[in-house]
Amino acid sequence: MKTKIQHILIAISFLVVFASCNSVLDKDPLTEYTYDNFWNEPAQASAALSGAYFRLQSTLNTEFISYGEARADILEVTRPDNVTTLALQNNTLNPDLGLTDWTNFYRVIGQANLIIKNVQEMRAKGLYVNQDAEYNRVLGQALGLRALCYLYMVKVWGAVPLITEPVISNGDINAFKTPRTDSIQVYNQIVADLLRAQPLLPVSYSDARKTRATLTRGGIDAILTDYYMWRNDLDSALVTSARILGNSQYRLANLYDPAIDYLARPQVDIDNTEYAKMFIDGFGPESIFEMAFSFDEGTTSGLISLFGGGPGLAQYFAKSEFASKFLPTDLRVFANFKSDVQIFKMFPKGTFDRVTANDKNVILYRLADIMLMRAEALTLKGDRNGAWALLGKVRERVFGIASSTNNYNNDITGPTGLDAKAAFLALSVQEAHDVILEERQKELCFEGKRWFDLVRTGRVFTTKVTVNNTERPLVVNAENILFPINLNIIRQNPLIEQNNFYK
Amino acid sequence: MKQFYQNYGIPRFLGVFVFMCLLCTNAFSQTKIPIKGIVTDVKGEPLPGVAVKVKNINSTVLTDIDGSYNINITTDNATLIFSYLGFETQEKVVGNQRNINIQLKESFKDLDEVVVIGYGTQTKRELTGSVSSIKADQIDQFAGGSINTSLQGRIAGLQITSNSGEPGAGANITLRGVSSINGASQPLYIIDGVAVNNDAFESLNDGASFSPLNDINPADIESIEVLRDAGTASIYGARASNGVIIITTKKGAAGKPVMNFAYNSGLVSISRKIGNLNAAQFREANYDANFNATGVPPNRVPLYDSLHPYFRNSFNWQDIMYRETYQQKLDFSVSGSSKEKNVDYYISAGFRDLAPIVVETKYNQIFGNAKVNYKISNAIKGSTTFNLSNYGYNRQDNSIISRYLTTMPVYAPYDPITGNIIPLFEASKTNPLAQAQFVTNDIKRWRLIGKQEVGANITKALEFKSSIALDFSNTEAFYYSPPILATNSSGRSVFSDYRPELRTMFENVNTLSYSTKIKKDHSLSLLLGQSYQIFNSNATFVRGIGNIDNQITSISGSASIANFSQSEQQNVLLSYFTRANYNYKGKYLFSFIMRRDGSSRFGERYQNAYFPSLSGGWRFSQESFMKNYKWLYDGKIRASYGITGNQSIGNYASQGAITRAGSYLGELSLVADALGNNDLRWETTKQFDLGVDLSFLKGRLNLTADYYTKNSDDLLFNVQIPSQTGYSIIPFNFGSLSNQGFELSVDGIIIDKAFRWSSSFTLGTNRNRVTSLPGGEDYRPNPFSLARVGEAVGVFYGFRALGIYARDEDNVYIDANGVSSQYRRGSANGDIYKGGDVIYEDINDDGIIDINDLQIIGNPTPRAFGGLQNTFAYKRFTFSVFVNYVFGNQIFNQLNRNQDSNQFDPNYSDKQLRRWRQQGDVTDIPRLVKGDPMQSYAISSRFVEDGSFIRFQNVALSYSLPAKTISKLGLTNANIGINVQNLLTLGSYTGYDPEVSSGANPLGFGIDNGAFPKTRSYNLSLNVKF
Repeated sequence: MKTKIQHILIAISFLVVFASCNSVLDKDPLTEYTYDNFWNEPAQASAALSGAYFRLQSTLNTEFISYGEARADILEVTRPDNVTTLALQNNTLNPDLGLTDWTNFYRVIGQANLIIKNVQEMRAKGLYVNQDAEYNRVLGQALGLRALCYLYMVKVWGAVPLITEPVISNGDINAFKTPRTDSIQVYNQIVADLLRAQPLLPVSYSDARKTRATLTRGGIDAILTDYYMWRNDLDSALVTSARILGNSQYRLANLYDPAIDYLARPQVDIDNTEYAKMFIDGFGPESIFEMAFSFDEGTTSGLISLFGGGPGLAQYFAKSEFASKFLPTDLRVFANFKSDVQIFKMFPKGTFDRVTANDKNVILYRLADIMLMRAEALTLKGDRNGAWALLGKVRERVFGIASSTNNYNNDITGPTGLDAKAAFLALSVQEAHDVILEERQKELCFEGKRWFDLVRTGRVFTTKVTVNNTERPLVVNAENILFPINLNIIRQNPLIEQNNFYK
Repeated sequence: MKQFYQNYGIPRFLGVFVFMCLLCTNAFSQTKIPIKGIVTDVKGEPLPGVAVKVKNINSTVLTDIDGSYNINITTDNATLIFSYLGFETQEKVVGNQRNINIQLKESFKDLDEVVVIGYGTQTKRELTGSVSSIKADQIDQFAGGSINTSLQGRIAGLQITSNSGEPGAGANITLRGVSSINGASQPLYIIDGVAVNNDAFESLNDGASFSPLNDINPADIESIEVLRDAGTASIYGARASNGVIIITTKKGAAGKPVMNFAYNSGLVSISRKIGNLNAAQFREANYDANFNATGVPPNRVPLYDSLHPYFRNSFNWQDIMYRETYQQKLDFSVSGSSKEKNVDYYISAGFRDLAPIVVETKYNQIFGNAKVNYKISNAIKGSTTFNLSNYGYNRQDNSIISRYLTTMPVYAPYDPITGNIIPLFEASKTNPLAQAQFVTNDIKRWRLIGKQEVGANITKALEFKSSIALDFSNTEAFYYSPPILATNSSGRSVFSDYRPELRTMFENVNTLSYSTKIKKDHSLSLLLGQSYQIFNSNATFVRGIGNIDNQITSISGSASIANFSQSEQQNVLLSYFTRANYNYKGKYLFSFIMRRDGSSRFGERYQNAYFPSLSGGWRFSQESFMKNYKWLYDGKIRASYGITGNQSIGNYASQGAITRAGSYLGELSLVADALGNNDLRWETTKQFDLGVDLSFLKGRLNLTADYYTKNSDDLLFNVQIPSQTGYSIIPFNFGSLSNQGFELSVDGIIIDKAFRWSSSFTLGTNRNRVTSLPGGEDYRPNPFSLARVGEAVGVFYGFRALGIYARDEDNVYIDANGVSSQYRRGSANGDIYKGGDVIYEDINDDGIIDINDLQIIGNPTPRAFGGLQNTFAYKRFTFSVFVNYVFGNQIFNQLNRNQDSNQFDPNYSDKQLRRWRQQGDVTDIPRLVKGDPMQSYAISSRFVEDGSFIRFQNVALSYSLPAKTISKLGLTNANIGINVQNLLTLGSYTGYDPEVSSGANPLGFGIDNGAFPKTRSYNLSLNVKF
């Protein structure tokens, strides 16, 4: 009996030992993917692409204002206790500020790099048989997102480390530390990615929201136009902008309607216009590329924290100098503001539901933006009439077609009236450019464009701003244009050299 | 089965056996003279189980539960011998006495005392490694006591820094210095032979970490052993780098049932409050801060109106939020054995109510414990152990400290007109009291540890044992943010979080042990074993939004689900181990250990690793040339060298992860979240230990000293990498550390009369430094700390503050060419320092204070730490004082830095009373400016303070009632006592408490982020045995 029990015990324990040899140590995650078991199906790559947009949301949700507008001459800081907004307004940036950290851009880029490399390998393995369109969509959008991020970064920081391959560990931890790449190389990569992506992408998708809120061929053309304007390559900008103008997906959203007297009930009627809905509801006919935010998906654009609430709550109001530039008949005033200077462009002026108010989409490119950039290029190229035509269209949307019966736009004295046209045609190139830039300012205010406009046209040195009763140019020292690089970035990678002005 | 062997188990049981046999053989004798009596200890406590023997005659009996015995002698000349383990043997000539009561005196030191080592036991005499232990009487029994508080200061070289004063809070435990830099580097805990799951668990939202050891009732613990060197610890190979702590619970003693009842209660309060500004002082400071920043007077007029009904009073929010509470603990146990003594048992139940010192919080816990050992046949025996705990904790979050400190003193908690609580001050700032009342932040936890073991003696010398064990826990965390505290009507500010987390561990251990003596002089014992452990965890998180009131706070009252996630994980450890112990005549001792561990956490090529150790001892006191030195009772020199490991890294760290982030336009979004590392492998620590154990005057004075060196390589760590990679960290084998130190424990009986004074002292010193880093480059795990080759681990890194500019014109910089200008902040275009700004040292002398001027400004590692226990006993009174101490470390007072640089109109510390206000002020506190544009509150030596302290941890007085009195009540033993915990702390640190633990990263510790404050308690205890 005794020995029997012993034998059984020993047998059991040895069974446990040998039943469980080496394979027992191979444990794969149960609720997440690993690098080894991913990239096996096209649907996985699509989900990763969706993840790249998810990353982009947290990269630019409020930053599009911080980088693109807060340092310019449009916004007024209302709260004296926010170090970041004060530093932007007073041009006292320092490398401690959170917005000087580029981490989030590289999260999008890292995601894009993985997709770009892996979908090509997947295709080589035959995983995309008969799915060319899907392959092109995923690859093209990933390339486009990567280019968009690098373009933003190079505008903000100048030279940045150029990383185009998925990061993997090779055992040397210091291999991750690479210095800033010369900005010319970064530019070359941006344009190469965009030119490669452009033919891959379709002009639209079956889901209309995706046509606006994911990259399309038009979206790539918009980034290209922006890129060429930034690089002052006007001829190329004219080519790419022409493609957008010829793209049937896009038309200016309607604003002026002769049947409605906006001045009588401004807040109610303006909310119903296509123009206002473009910002409030998103996915408008003018939108070329926007980031979609959704209350149900738990994503927030943070616009409430920037502009929402009254004095003491909103971070920014419009500068009264800027708000007063609009004509009293300019319907954009009603679309943009609640009171004189309170920014309400993305919120309904009538009934304002705070519960879901924070999921307004952020438009990065829309048709009016491209048209006005094209007008700039035409002006500089000497085609003043062509420029006027585009400028006129943007104004007509606001004021209606000039006619003797239009109170908003008289055919002689109105914004697109004969007088205005004659004056515009008679201006010097410089002055005409100024007119277009001012129109851009009015049309695209609070959309993160103004600072970059001033930088790329050199007007950042001549534009003056009044803060605390003292007038100063936006920037005196050219090195001050770039933003500082966050100290944490330098702490983690000492090879990153701080921008000169902030050394 | 190991329970049979622990402590004095073996000898007592052997004794029973042997003496029974002897009794049988001597059943027939001539004249019988019956002698009876009672054997007690010096306090008069009856001693059961004492062997009473007639000298030169094989006649022995054992005393029963009351300490009484009956024995027959044949002649009055007979001599009785009373012997009992742990006591000095006494002889007594009978003469004409027929009733002989004997008091036995405790022996000073017992070399036959058994200590628990991995998978077995050893006598102290035979130990070749460095093992320290504490016994049941040293374990804290006051209501808030825990394993951590019990070990603090009592084991040389073991530094325990509790994370906070919160019930159940974890502690940072380092043995012999930081040998591992990974966050989870805790010692390995073995409870009754089971390597339990020791992963901390966290609360929702604020992420406070709680110790799983809190599930063990200190009242059930018989002993705690700490394996300090590789010579002992490497039997646990891969997880032993940070030391091994072996906890053994109580078991039943042979005899009738003994019931034990203990009641402990305490009056508990915060041990210290921080000086803050009152309303008048605050108004001035707040005005200065705003005016200095903007140049215009602040516009929040009501705050400045000292007559305003809502803001005219002054409140110290620490007084409002902290309270004095009453904590209590009740323990009951029954132990004993069956008449045939083949089954023994220990069963206990405990309850404790640890009402925390913050208002509106609650903590209740119950324990249950059962241990049964049984013999199935002569060769087969078994044991079954269960350990159960359940608690519920309604708590406040982690950031209460700074919230209470920064809440403006002009804010009144209750509306002065209606008397109702004000949920939001000025409609936007949360009232801490309302938060305490309305926010739910709960933890509910169940834990069960069970073990079933069988053992079989295949031959007399060869024993086989097999056990299976289960460690199960279910932790539910709740958090509710109610509508009443919603600062705006955003759809997400009212939410209800729920996170159940299930963790299980299954372990199977099989061992074969063999022990033999060859030709009397050679003792050999061998152990061969195998173990398999699998850990599972499954955590689900759900956030509901849109609850409408404070009645249904769970997700069942939510309008919709906003967030959810699930994480299920596994890891496996498959191990084989062996140990050989050999000694020659008990004089020359050797031990060899080898363990092979395989872990599922590492890359395929590195899953398995070997952890050997070799140790030896020489009991030179046994040598003939030492025979003349009678004062030396025992002397041993030990040395050990071995390798241990560490596998504390994420379960799937080597593989990388692509995880769900959410969705975009209704489609699943997956993001690359973690970078994998196929080369990930074990962290190893090579440790050398040289020790000496000396015992003098029959063991009245004992000394143990150890010197060690520890070199840890391939440190496992989630290393920060540049964010340009798209990731923030990578799991990596990163760099090397070395530690060396000296440990000393001395205990002795200084006076041994009716008045008895015993004393024990521990001292640990440690010097560590970083010996290598990848590429030799500095690594900065956080903005406060630095790892640099050749420097101590975790040194603080920042500016050195030289003072405060008294006047604008004091800022003079003269460059190398003798040109005079002024120091600037940050860059050549930066602002010029003015009066009231901090003077920072300009190391590179370029006139610019920037990152090039950062330097090492402090060291958080103590030079020495330990404890001193003094116990005075007189008749039935015992008085003891326990002091622990830490010397030579520095603390970074981030709590103060945070408070005084807070840009959202905080209340300030009373240091601001000394602030610079006008030209010419000479002070150490800079000008107050909101937003701090001149970085007066940058990380600098201004916040580095001396962290040395001496703490009167425990002062206790107890009285045991005379046996005569209590026996009328049917009791065998009764004891009442009072004690004070954390009576007094001497030290210069200005924060709450110098015992500062800031999270788990050993490369960045000693930073005071303001954890739940420590408490002082006045306790009453009552112990009754019947």
